[in-house]
Amino acid sequence: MTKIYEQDGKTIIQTVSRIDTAMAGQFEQDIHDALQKPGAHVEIDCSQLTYLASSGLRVIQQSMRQVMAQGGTFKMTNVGPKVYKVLAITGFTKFIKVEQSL
Amino acid sequence: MLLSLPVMAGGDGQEEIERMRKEMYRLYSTDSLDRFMAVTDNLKKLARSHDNEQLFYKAWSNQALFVFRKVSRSQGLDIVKEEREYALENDEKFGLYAASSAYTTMMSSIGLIDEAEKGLYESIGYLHRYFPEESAAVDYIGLAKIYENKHDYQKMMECARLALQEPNVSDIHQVSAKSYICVGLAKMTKTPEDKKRFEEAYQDYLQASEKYGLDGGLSTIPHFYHAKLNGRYAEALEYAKQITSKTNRLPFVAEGYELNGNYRQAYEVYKDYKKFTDSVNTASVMQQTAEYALQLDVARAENETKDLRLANQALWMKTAGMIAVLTLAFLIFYLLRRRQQLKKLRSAYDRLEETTTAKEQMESELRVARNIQLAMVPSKFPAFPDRRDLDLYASMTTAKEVGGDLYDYLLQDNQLYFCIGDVSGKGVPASMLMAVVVNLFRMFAKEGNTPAQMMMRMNEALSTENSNGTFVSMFIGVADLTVGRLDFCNAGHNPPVIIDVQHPSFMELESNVVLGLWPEAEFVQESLEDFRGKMLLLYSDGLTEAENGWQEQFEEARLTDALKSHRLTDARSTVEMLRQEVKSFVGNAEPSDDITMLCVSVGEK
Repeated sequence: MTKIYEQDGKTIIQTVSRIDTAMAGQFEQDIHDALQKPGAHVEIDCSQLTYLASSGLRVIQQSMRQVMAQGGTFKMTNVGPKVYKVLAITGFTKFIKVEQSL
Repeated sequence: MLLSLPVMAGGDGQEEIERMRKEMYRLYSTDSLDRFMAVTDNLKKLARSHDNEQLFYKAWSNQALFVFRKVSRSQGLDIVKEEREYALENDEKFGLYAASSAYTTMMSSIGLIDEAEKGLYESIGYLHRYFPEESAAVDYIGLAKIYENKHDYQKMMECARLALQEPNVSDIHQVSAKSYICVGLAKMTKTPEDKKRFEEAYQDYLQASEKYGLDGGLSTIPHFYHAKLNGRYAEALEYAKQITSKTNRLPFVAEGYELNGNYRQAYEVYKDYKKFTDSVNTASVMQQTAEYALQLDVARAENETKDLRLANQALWMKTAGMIAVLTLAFLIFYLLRRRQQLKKLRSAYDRLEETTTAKEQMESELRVARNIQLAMVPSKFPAFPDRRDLDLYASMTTAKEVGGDLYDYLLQDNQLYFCIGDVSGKGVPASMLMAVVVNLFRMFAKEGNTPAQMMMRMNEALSTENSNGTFVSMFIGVADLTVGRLDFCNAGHNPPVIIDVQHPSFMELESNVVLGLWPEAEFVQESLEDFRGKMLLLYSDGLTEAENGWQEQFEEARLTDALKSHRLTDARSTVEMLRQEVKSFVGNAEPSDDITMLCVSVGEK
């Protein structure tokens, strides 16, 4: 299950381990409400995430667009090497703030 | 000012018709919309009242083409649709021919070249079958124009010659065909004998052109070549400036300046030309191409029913009811399915995914998706049988749930354009977008863009109105076969493998962003100075992410291992070897994604 909570004025969204084609729709639904707040500081916590498919990338990009359009901020945190590689190859790291995990 | 051309009452009709027919063809190459429409409207009325079915529809088709070229594409399309409907209603074969002939000409000018080429050959066959006494010159000239765009001058001239062999070729088509022959010979002139042949063709064209007072649609282009081949460069430049169509004029003017040694001016004009073609081919082209492609399919369905109707005329009484029902059912089915695809693609598909009971419908949708996808990529190999210095092979294995993989290649001016790509998402929506991307690739390649330019323009086109966040990863390469240089640009696709004498390694490249999401993105182009003797393998992530029954992926390591442990002789055996490797790795597991590979090497072996 996607976990969503508020912490220090930020909206933290902790993903499940796989966002593949089958899961992306569920993920999109899970986070829908959390993205509605204007000016929200959204962090996608990827500490559990080990696989991100292109359908998942789509949801990430759409979410970022929505949050930014409402004057908020958006970043991905605790991104493991495998997911980071996907974000780097697809050029997402050029447009989305991504913090790698240690 | 409107030229008044009153319809003569009484018996003098035939002369009047002939006069107006000539006037129609004369005005056709001018910009006087009002006069052209007035003349053709009158001509239609007159032809109808004299039972001249052929002329009636010719005038109508000419109106459609005139409006399409000089007013608006959609209005032109509307006119031709109206014409077709009218012909269908009255069951007039020539009308059906004339409308579909005009239609394919339009397809040709919006870049659906292959469709148009096929359509024109069909039109010619149709005319020869039903109206052997009528001239199919206009269709041959349409083909000549297509081959001119493809730079296939041999075929261009062949079609122009065939046009001249048709019965009762009209004045304008004679001049047109002769002008194409002229241009073709000019393009291929190398020896003094070639030049002599060109001179003869030019004189022939000139005579026809003067006799009928027409230029044949190519404007002053034949004069340009005549001046150029005779070394009169200043004169050539003047002719270039007089070319009426802007798309044609600018490159000729640029060439004219170049001939005169004025390289700076040539460069400026060429820049203008690029800017102009950019403005013509804006983002809306993407949507237009898709729309027109669908309209064309509908037209084809109508054509099929039309043939059905005509072939069965003798049995009409007996079978009329049945055919009508079949025709109607077929049309309705086809149109409904098309409409559904166009308007409700996404929602329909989402619903389908949820409904397991609609399994059958789902499978038919999947078949549609697979057919679209497989129809868009070239599958004839060897790709270049007569080129010893170019070895290219590609394969695409589609999964049950079709993804949006694509590849394409095109050889032009000794430059090999090739690409691989992957559209995000699955099923019909992904395959539709895939078709659009392939069309854009072909169009931009034909214009001679660099890989980075192509990426930038595709990104612009795909980012417009992209509200659901679909995107495309893509690698484009352009290999200069003369010097062996490779320019390439990678937009978010997995890095290709480059194999240097049995040593495979992943290319290290700039990760430009995928196409369709960020319209402001910039694209960095890279290059290899000499790529000869190496082999390049492009692939989609379906290859490295193929899973076996234990949820293990094939991974990059197995890919390089396989390449190291086999002797790689050519592109085909390399790709087929990898297919086998993946197949035995996956075993009985259900493939979850398309697997696409394209392998290319250049230089004499």
